[in-house]
Amino acid sequence: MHRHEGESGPAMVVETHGLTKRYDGIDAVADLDLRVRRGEVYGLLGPNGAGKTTTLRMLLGLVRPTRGSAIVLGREPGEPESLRRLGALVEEPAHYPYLSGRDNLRVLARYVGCGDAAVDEALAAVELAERADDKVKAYSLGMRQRLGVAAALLKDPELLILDEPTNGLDPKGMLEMRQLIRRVGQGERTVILSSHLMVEVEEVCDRVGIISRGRLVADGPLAELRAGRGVVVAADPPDAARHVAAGARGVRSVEERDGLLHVDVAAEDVAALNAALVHAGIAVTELRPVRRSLESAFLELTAEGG
Amino acid sequence: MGGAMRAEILKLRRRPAFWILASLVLVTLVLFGYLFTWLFIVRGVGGEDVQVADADQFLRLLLPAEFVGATVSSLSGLGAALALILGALAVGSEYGWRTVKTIAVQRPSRLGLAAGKVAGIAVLVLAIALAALLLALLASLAVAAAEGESLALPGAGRVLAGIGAAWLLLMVWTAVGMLLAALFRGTGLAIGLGLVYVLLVEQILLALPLPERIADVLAAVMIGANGTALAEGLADASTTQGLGFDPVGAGQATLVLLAYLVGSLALAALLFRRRDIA
Repeated sequence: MHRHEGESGPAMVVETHGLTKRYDGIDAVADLDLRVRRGEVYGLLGPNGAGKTTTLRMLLGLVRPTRGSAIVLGREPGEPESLRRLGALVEEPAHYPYLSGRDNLRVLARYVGCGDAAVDEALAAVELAERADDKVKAYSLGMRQRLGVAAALLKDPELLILDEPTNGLDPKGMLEMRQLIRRVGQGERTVILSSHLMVEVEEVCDRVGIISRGRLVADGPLAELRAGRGVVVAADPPDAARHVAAGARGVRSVEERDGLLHVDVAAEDVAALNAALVHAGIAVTELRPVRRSLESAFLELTAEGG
Repeated sequence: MGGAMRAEILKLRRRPAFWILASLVLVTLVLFGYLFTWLFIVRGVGGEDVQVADADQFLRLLLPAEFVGATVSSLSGLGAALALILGALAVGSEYGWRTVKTIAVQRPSRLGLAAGKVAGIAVLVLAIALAALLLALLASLAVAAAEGESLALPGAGRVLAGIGAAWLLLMVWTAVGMLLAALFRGTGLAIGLGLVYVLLVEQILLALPLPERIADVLAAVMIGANGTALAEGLADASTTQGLGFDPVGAGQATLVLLAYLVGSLALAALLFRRRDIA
């Protein structure tokens, strides 16, 4: 198995290598190499149909990969020892409609092997204790989503996998769900959150993997993904600065927008650009890396991935 | 497996459909097995045109000494259809509600989940079988009291055999329902096709004017025919004489039904284990 120095072993909660799932000749997920570290909130971001849910299903052992491998909490996906230590909400929450919320969790508690105290704790964690004895068929979608998270929390899992947990929720429900995810993702627990909403990932996650057409097209900390190519320079006089910058080492292009120069230059050549400007007697008042919104980064990367 | 079994029992115990089906098994046993037979055949209620030469023989079937055979016989009829629906609902609803993926990511392995489900259902089916026998005993005592007949009970061995036979009969059809639901990943088609088989296919095949050898082979392999044979094996031969029964042999019937039970459950478990859960 290929391992990255310092990024494998116990520190990695999830590792996949060339994970592929093929349906009817089409790769729903293709050659996915994913690494999720212990304790982080990892966002799996991608448009609908990108392969996020299929990926999570493979990590949970619900579907078998066509090829490639995955290790989840040190085990093959779907092994009882792996399942014992993880909680998951995949797609829409699925409960027994004729049972109350509490009884739904009591059923799952029997499968898991935990007592009714864990049921009460999980209900309290998602703030559902007051309606716990109502039948699930009377619950709103938001309440069912919260019950789904409670079910996932029942085992006090090391790894929590949440697939589009805010789907179908109103803005208030979405806000509450994000607060809940932030809360349960504190400490040592690892959370994998799949979403097609950039704002959600931006608010909740430490690291993001962007998936498009079944392929992981980017993976890293949010700040890294938002970093664009080049620097923004405020310099005086601007015309001379533009002229000097265009001739500096490693500069690919220079554009002037709103009185600022947008210089496309590799990171290792930024110092040389600055030196060239200063050497030419140009006053440099600002020099900073280009920052993209996650939205533009996402659109750029998914377009490239497609 | 213990946890999965207790989870299954909790799910079914709280499910209205389970209580409706269990009640129907008991109600049909009392109505068709005792009340209607006693009223319309033994007592001749319904007019003078109802003439049943063997009324006395039918009465003997309703007495406490025969309650074991009568119960198993009733369960091999409508009880079979209701048991099939129970099995199909227990498995198929997990697909319909999509709870199959919720339980599949809990602790047990897929085979552990399947074994727990079977064990939980088996316990509840045993409870239904015991309730049916108890109710049949009460009904037979009532008939005997009303007719001034003997209150003598069958021996303990026959009662124990009856408990096993009643459980096996219900469990076989429940397992067939579970297999169909696992195959079609839902309840609708499983119940529909299952009922067509239980209520029509076997009856039609047995009614066809086939050569005797082929008819015997069919009777030897069909679940319903073996269920009837098992019920008849528990009846007193002198009581059933002349009523058109043709006992095949309870031993063979038991083996055939056990083979169906194990085969259906193994196939259902295999399907659940090997298939992706989408």
